[in-house]
Amino acid sequence: MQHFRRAVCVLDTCSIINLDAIELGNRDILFYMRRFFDVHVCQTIREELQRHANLVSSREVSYWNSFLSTRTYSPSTLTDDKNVIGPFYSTPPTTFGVKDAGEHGNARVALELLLTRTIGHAIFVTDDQKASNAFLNSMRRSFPGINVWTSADVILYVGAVLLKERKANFETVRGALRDVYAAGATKWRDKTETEKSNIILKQSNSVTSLRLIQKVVDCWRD
Amino acid sequence: MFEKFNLKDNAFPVTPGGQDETPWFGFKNLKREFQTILDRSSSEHLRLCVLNRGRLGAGKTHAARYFSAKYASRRKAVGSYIRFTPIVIESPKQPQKAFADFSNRLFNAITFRQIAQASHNLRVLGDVNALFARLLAATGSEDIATALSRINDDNLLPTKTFLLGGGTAKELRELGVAKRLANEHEFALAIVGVLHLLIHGQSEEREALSRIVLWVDEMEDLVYFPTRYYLPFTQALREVIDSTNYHMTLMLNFTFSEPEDLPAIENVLGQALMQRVNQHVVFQQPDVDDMKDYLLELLKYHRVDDRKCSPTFPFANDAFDLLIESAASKTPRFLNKLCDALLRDLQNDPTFELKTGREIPRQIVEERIPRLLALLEEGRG
Repeated sequence: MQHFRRAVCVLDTCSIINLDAIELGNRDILFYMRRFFDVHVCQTIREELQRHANLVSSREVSYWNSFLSTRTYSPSTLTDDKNVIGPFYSTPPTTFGVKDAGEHGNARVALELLLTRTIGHAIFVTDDQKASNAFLNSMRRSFPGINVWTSADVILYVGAVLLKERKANFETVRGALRDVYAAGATKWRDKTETEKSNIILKQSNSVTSLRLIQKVVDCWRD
Repeated sequence: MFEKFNLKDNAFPVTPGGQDETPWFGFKNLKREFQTILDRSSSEHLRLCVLNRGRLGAGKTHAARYFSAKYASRRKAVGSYIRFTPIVIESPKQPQKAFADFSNRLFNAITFRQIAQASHNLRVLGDVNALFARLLAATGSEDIATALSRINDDNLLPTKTFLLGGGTAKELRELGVAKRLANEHEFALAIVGVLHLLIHGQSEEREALSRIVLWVDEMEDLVYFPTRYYLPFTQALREVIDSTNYHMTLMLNFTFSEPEDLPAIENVLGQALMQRVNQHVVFQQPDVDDMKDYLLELLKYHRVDDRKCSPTFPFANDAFDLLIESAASKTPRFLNKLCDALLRDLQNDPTFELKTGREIPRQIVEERIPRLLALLEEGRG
């Protein structure tokens, strides 16, 4: 693991909150975030996290805050949401700075780090499907160096390594997937039937992916 | 409001609640499937666990209400059982105390008076010690066997408090029990004990069996349960199923946009629960004929005056066909909403005048239906 170049991860507030309190192999997810990823966030994420402190249950919000404080990046060139992010929208919002401010800020962070070759790629982690549909997917198409993940992808990524290292088993990772989807459903969204069915489908797809991971990991067992 | 359409105001309900009776319209194959399950429940001593899966508004809750009302009202013996005891509850909504919530919903649906009456019946047929012994054998819990074998009008309130997980030290001492019900396992045993009373104790004259038909609605809500609450809940539910195996039919309603996707459903319910499911009812997407039969029977049932109008009234034949086409492959609830929205739209439109006895022509439906469909699709209808 010492020789491993960590993946760069730009983490959104909703994903931090959804990943909070989830354990894998007797460690919380923050442990793995430190170990597997170079995390970067914009200043807005810390402010949003402070505002949603009631949704972070596992630990003091200050713990996340101190973790993020050394990982906060303020872009020096890409500073304007309207000019940088606006073009990725099919219908840009009339005002920038309030709605999706965290995603916009993080997107500028990812683009600046990428274009200044500070990093080779960025994984943009967000569970905000609306933001993904509104501009992130379009940005991803223009900048293939940016990949868009959900919190469940983080669990699959970490889970695959832990399965290989025998620090977690299939059911543990499946439990963590259930936890992350449950957190996403209960902490943020209205519980509409459509949302519920979407969550059931996504969770099922993630478990299917986990089964494929298990098959590959089993090669080390034979 | 719908009088001029020769229909009662509540002709197109969105949910089955709030009606004096629960009628069944159309969907004859589906009805027959349930009928077969309930016939099998009455003639065989076996555990039946049925998974009813369908889209939102397909009629799962309606089926639960309809068949519960139908079988609860039967006073004659049903097969080898003296009666059916249908119970309809929703799945728990508070993951952190899910099983306590589940048992509270169940006990309240049964009513504590009915539990006390069943206990009384069995005391009359045997004695309190014999009842204690059989409840102890069924549950393995001295506390639960003690409380349920002695429940009567005098101690109804403290016993109720105990079964709901409460009770002061003094109340518990007076009931002869050592501690409150605390974990999922203890609540599961309490349910097993209560179901034992209901199965065996519904006759004062002789020991006779009753069949429990327990419908649990909205099982898909388990998707909101984090693992630390999900596992104890499903474990306790399995305990109840396995301990009440011969005389209970458990109906699990599961709402899902892809009801054929069984692996996705298993992912939510868990493998152990799914292994206990031995029958499936799938609420298929209705075709044009299903919807036609449904709407014709619904209109007939809700007529203010059934004597002098066509079966499709207030819609002209071709207008009726257009409505059906618009709602085909949707759900009965969607069709109800569409009809309700259309009639209200016409009712509130000062430019539209329908002379008594005249039908709504296709052209009027054609003009209005795109807007109403858009509203319904957005969920604003």
